Amino acid sequence: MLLDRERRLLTAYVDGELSSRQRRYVVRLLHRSAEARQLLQQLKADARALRQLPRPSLPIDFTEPVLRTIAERNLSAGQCRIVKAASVTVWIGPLVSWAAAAAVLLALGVASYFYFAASLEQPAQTEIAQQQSGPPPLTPQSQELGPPIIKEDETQTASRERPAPKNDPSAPAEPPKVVQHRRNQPKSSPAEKPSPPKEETVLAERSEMFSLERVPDLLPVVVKVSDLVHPPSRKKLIDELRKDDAFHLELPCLNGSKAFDRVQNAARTLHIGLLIDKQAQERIKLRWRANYGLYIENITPEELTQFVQQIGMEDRKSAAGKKNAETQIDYLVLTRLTAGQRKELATLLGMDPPTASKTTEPLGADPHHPLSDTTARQVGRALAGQGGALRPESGKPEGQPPQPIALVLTYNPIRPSPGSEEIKQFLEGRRPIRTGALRVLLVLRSS
Amino acid sequence: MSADDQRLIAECLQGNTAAFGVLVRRYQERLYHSVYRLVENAEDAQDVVQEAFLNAYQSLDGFKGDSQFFTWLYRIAVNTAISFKRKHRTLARMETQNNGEYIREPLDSSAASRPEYALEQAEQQTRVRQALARLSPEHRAVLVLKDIEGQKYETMAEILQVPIGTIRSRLHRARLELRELLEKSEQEK
Repeated sequence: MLLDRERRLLTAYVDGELSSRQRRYVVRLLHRSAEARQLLQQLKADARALRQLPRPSLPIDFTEPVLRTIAERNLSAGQCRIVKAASVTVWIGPLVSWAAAAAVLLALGVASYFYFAASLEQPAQTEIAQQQSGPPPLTPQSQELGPPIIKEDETQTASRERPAPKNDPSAPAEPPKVVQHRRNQPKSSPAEKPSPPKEETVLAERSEMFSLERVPDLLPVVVKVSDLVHPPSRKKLIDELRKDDAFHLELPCLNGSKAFDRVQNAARTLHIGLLIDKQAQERIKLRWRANYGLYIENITPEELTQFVQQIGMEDRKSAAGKKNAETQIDYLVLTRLTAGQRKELATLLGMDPPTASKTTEPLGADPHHPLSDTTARQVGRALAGQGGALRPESGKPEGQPPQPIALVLTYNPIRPSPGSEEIKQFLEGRRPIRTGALRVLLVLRSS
Repeated sequence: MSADDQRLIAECLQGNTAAFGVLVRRYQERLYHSVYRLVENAEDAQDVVQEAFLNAYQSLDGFKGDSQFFTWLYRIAVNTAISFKRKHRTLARMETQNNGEYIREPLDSSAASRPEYALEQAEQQTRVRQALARLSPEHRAVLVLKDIEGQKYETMAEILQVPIGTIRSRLHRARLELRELLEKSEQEK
């Protein structure tokens, strides 16, 4: 089997771009390796075939149309400096998009600034007023106001019915204490001395206005694979994986094919089935520095963590036995599956996996099977387990959870052929997603 | 750069459009040949070549004479072709598969002495063209520049405006990918 470095030397040999030292190495290689001789012969034949492609005859004389266009468009020599003609065309589109995106972000930023500036102005003043006034004295007026805590719906009603202080032209001139007090004292006269604001009132209203929502955390989590032997690192990864149900895992490696050996060994140890697409098989066989994508379903966070840990162990095991051998995989980069990645996955598989898996839920219909099958299965279930999970047959141990199966595909730049046999087989054999199980796209990316 | 090219460029910059006509006539055939291999379609190749000449004309003052005029012109044409292929990739694939344009080209006359040999040659050429057409524009460009145009790594790097290491790496991948595609097509034969 030829090393990747040797293949590189052979292709450069065809180009005649080797140093004398490299050429001597290739000559020795050709002397001892029949595979190298065969590959070189084929590469040379390919280059020859390209050279021998017939030259197309010139269909027209470009002189006249070019000069005519110059005259028609009134172009002058050197009127615009286009050294990279294509790159101008290529970058115009993205530039427009970036400019539009920047404009939207700027508008959002400015709008947010004004919104928060206006909203925060009042509570800040209230706090100052509270500090200045100290503990609120218990006045007859405040007693009339009833309990200090205002119910949420009252606050909402109040804020809906009254114009916001920002819109009231007199509001900024008034002390904050008065503003706060007036909210709960609709019929008080301006001459009356206002009672100090109720802190609870402010808080109730503030929490209503600024109820923050947690947005999905899209920042990648980077984990050193070798650290996964330690329980705290494992727990950290498991916790991350529990935050969603679909993830994108990147395993940067030196050579995707070599790294795949480690993945294969780890999968064998953990009884994870691998269904390898034909194109991927060829690349693995040729030991190419290729990229691979593994799509795995029905794997729990714990199982996935164990899988990655095992990959790391296999990697170290392989490196330990060889002289000057390096580990293939150092880090794992974890991100939640974004909409774009879902789309990419759908392109790879020829269908949207999350959508497809939902169709196999008990209440849904699986388009891959006739309805009669579904009905028969439901009846069978009802008879065996009263509509719940199937009971094991008598005398047999309880069934194991479904074994995760990973579909191995070529990844960028070569994409698998849509609808390949392996993809079909994988899609046909899919099962409903277990509760808490994940969908994962694990990418082995050659450096 | 040849003195004649330099003189013609200077005349163009002084407003003599006819001088550019001489440059077009001088380089159009070589340019068309390479562009045709990049876009694999006669009509598209015509459009790209014409566009490249117009772009070159408008940016003539940007040409400093550090390289050959053809290299500079070629850079504009190759970039235009790559950009064109990126935009029309899907369409081009369909055309490649659907019409028999490849077969229409005349065969090499030297191979015409033996009918079955000519047929084999035509089939081989079709396979090579189809395989070439399936490569990415970047990979196709390096193969065309190296094998069809016979350019050196340095010139290719200058034309494509990437480091020599990138050229080496792209060529390596392009050759292996082409080999794989040809093997596949031979198996399907």
